[in-house]
Amino acid sequence: MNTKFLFPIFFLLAALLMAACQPAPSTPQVTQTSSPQGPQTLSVITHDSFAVSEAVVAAFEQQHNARVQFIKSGDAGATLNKAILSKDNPLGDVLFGVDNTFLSRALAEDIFEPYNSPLLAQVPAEFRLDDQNRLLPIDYGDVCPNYDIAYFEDKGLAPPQTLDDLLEPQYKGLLVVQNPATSSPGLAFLLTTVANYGADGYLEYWQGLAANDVLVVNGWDTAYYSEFSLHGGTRPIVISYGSSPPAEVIFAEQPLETAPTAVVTGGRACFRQVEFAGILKGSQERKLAEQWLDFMLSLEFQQDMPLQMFVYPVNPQAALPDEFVRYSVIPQETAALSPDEIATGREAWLQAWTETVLR
Amino acid sequence: MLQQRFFTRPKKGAGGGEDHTAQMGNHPGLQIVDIHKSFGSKLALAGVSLQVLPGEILAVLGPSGCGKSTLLHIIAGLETPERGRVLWDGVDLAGTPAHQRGFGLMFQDYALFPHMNVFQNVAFGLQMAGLPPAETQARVAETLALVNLPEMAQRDVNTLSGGEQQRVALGRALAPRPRLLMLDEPLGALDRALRERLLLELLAILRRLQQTAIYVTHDQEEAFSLADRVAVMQAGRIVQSGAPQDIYLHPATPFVARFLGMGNLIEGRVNTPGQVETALGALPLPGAQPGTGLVLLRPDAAELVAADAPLRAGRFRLQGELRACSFRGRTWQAEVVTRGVALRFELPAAGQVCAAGQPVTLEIDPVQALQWYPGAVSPESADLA
Amino acid sequence: MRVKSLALLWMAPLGFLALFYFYPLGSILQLSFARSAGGAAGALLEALRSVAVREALWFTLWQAALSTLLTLLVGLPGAYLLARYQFRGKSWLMALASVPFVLPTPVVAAAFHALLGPRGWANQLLMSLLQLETPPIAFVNSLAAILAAHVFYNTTIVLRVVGDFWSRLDPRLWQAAQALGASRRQRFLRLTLPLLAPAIAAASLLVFIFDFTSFGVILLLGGPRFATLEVAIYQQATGLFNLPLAAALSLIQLVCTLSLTVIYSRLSARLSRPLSLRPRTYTQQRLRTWRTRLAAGLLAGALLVFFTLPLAALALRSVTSIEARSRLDRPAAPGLTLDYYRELGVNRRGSLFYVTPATAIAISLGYAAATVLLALALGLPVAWALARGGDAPLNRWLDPLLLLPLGTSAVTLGLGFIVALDRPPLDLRASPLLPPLAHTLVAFPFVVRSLAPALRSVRPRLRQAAAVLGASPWQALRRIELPIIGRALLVGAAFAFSISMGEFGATAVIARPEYPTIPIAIYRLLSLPGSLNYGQAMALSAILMAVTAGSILAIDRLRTGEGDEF
Repeated sequence: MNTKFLFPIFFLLAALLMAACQPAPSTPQVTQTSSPQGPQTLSVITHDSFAVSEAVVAAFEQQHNARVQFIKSGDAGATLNKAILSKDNPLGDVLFGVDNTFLSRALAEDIFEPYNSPLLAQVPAEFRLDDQNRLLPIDYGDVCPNYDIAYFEDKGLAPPQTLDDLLEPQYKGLLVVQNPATSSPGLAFLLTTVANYGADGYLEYWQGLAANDVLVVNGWDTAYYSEFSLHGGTRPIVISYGSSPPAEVIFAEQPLETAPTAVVTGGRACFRQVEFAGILKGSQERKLAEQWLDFMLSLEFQQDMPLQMFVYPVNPQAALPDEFVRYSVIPQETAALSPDEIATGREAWLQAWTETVLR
Repeated sequence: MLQQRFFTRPKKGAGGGEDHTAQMGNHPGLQIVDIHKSFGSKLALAGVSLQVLPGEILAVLGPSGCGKSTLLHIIAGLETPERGRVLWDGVDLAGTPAHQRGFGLMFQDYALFPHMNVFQNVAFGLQMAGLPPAETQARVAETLALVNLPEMAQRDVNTLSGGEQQRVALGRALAPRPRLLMLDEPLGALDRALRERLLLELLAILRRLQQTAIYVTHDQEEAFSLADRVAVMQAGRIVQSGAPQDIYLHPATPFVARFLGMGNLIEGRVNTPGQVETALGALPLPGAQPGTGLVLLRPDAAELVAADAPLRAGRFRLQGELRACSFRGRTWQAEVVTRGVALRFELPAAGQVCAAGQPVTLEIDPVQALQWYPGAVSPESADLA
Repeated sequence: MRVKSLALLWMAPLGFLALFYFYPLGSILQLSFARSAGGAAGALLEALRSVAVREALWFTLWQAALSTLLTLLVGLPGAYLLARYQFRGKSWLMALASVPFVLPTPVVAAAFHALLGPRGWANQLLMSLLQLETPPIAFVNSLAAILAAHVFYNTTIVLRVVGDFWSRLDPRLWQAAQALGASRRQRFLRLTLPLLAPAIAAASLLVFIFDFTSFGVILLLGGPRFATLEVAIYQQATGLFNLPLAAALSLIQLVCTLSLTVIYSRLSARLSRPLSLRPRTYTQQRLRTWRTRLAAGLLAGALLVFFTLPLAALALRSVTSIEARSRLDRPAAPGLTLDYYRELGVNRRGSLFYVTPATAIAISLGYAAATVLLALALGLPVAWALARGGDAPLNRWLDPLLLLPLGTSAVTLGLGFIVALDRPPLDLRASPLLPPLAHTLVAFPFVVRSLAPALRSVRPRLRQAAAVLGASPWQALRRIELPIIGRALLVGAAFAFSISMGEFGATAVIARPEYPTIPIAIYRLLSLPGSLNYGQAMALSAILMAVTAGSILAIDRLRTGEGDEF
């Protein structure tokens, strides 16, 4: 074999290391030195699931003579962790993706600056969970039991209506849930049971689920794509999102008349996840960051979110896509648990749940 | 053919400043001075000094483990001595790494590059010297012809016979025309017939090139037939150095004698000058001074005589019994027991019948046959081990 | 080799490790422990006192040991077959065996589900054959699934590391032993095992560390009842924000890895000896008798089935439409379709982060190429130092450090990058260089492990012969040693390539969203509901498999040049 290629390797290594030592052209540092005329760069830290239309971002960039750079940092927990750990030298200007289960924790770390966006006035009070407006609500979604409509029709079985129904013998062996320690919808469902049955009653409910042969898996994709009967599994009830039925229609292979799945919404069976964004302390682009937050609350962005991230806009004036209107139900009432209660109880609930359900 | 002598490499760097002509007068060729080397607690070389003149072939003769190969590695620059110097034309080579010394070394196991064919092996040194491809091509062809391997250039070295591998290794070492060629037991792995033939070829090649060379071997025949000068090594030291015939006729120590196959070493004591008392009786030893020592009785200097034949002047006789006999072509190798001492002799085979158990009478010329090593102790101490 | 030149060889690799491993790791550990009231000691004590942690540690150790043993049991016969015999389709078998190694865990989990899940092909077949109501095979969410996935992933390590070494052992040794009256069993016990010991030890160590730090397999196939240390670290760090405890667990994991590598280094120093290795052409035979043909055929067939069945199930799934049933047109029969592949090329929602499959392939290949070059450039000097310096103190101390990145929690290190590499001139937090750098940390020990034994086994005599013929040490390395160890170089390159292609955990945390690798693109698809998304994920997984197998085949072919028989 030809070994001549080894010489260039060493040069390449040297070059790489030298390049590594140059500041990357896209780091926030550049924005400090850029001239007022040139486009400024706004760094937005967010999680894996963030998505947005190209056109929507382009509109913002043109309007404000700016460039928006997104930095994704794993799941929501990892993203917040990174922001906390880098608070002395923030990774970006804005963080999007703190939900109400992490809200208290994020606020306690004191990494956000308050911003009273004028558009907050349009947002219902139930979403504005931080009275100092350090974290601004952007979207919400419900985590609910979903079921495979065809399965229940085939069996001539009525689908469950409430959480209590899931304990009934006719639903034995039909439910698959996620491990709350490793999955965000899994945690949401655990919190649903806590909210409904109280901190002293939820374990009893789970014992009932266990007796009714509930299947626990670690991730949403395992539950939904491997165990849920719609996608090749054997369980017709799965914990998923309220927006999953419209997603099933949108991402169907052949156009569908109706959604193949439906959501159990009765008796506060859903947990409402609200996602927030905030300006990170130490941001060099405060003005641009404010403009971005306003933009996220504006109709243009709010109406883009449903089909990108399958969440609902917090701004009630935003129009929902047709599929959402036709195939999803927004529950009247959801499980209620304040961010403070969640922050205080979370670890103990998780531990007790693990002891009860997994061992 | 190879007219040009000592191809000088265009090497730069350490040792590049050597000026051959300026130093030539003092110590031409290789000179090594007081080399010491040990591996862990084992002493490999204990103060070795020697010199090789340009065009000279020096054989280093010694049993395995005496330090011969280590010596070559130090000269080549593959090992660093703890003490002592290696000089070429008077220039110390301490700072010159192996690849800039311009020496050749042919390894005992040949060390042919297994991933290259014959041509690539022989061309390697030339390519390292930066010879243009056309010249390399010509020189390899020349070298292969010299070592009698024409038409073999494209052969895979792993498919060659022992003799062919040996020639490739020799060719590879010779091709860059090293100023000094070192051969480490080059014929060791070959069968006897092949060895003898190759020995003659090797000698012819070295003579034709007037190659300065060091030839390391444990075989005295190889050493004697090839070398201008022989250095005998024992346990990391050179114990005798000289022309082959001098060493053969006058082994300097009982060790050398025994290594050369002369095993008849008998303890003796000189009480009156000129006569030594041994287990064989009193033997005439002209010039010997009082003291103890070992007597060497050369095996090739005895003559079988009839018991009743008259004793010639200045000689003495031994009576004994033939214990064993083995036929060696022109001679018999005979083991004779005299007064309880077993001695070995080479007796002319012509007209003689050798039969074990037969009484014999041997007549010996003390001047030719006896050598006295005053002060030497028991024959066992001269053991090869 | 002199201490000075040895130190010189170690310099660049150590600098790399210091900058991109020890510095970030030290920073994050320090920062984490600073948040604990009791400091590092307090956090460690808390960890060691916890029953859950002790259980996780114990489970981590024994499942890794068991997985390693099983991997050896599957891999060694395969290594023998590949090492000693020449047969058609060998390089294909080799390439196929390395495909699992690069697949991201969600894909492997999907493959196992497609084959052995409740409604997998196997269960469906059995249910229709035996007229069963419920699936007979309960495979996923079991220990068996974890073990099978570990074997599936890591057998290629044994095949490559042991097989390559085995293929160059001189078969005359076995002939000599046979002539001396050694039976087949005795030859195996007295000759094969001791001679192979260094390679087996090296492979076992790598496999063990991979199993020891297993994360995705445990989460996705083992289910919630199983937790390794790595899983516990992830949960503590990102779910519960208990950074001190996560740091303590990372430290425990590191200490385990370090003890293991120290033991290994001592052991391998004693096990390895210079051998005169022979070119493959002399060590490998064709399958002549029908007996050997049958045995080899069965063995190769078994390996093939083991490696291809899950992959084939996945590939089949990528072209099979199992349409979600709707109330109007039911039942929709499964049919063959290329829709998923077609859909990959469409940015239906006009998303900013959409990439075409071609772009994702190009990005993955680019990162992989950079990783291969970087890992070889760093690994070669180290392998050389290890081979030439032998048991020098410098080697003894530094060698065990090399494997540490393999035994480090990806979450911890990922956070460390953010904390440490945050200021110019090393503000790499959003740099596209970060993925290849992180991949190199993992790939580099593989390169060293592939190269060092090979370099060590090149007879020193050959290097001396080259030196005497006028070759400088550098020339000797280039002209003599590298060509002779060419195979091992390719093995190292193939490892580095595969690791980079398949890496997911670290890449997800550090890669720029505009430059997603194939695994990241797969993961994005898997996180959305809808059968079209799932189908696309399967299609992209099939593409990843094809690209990987093709690249490994190409790397294997590279060696056809001069002196290709090694």
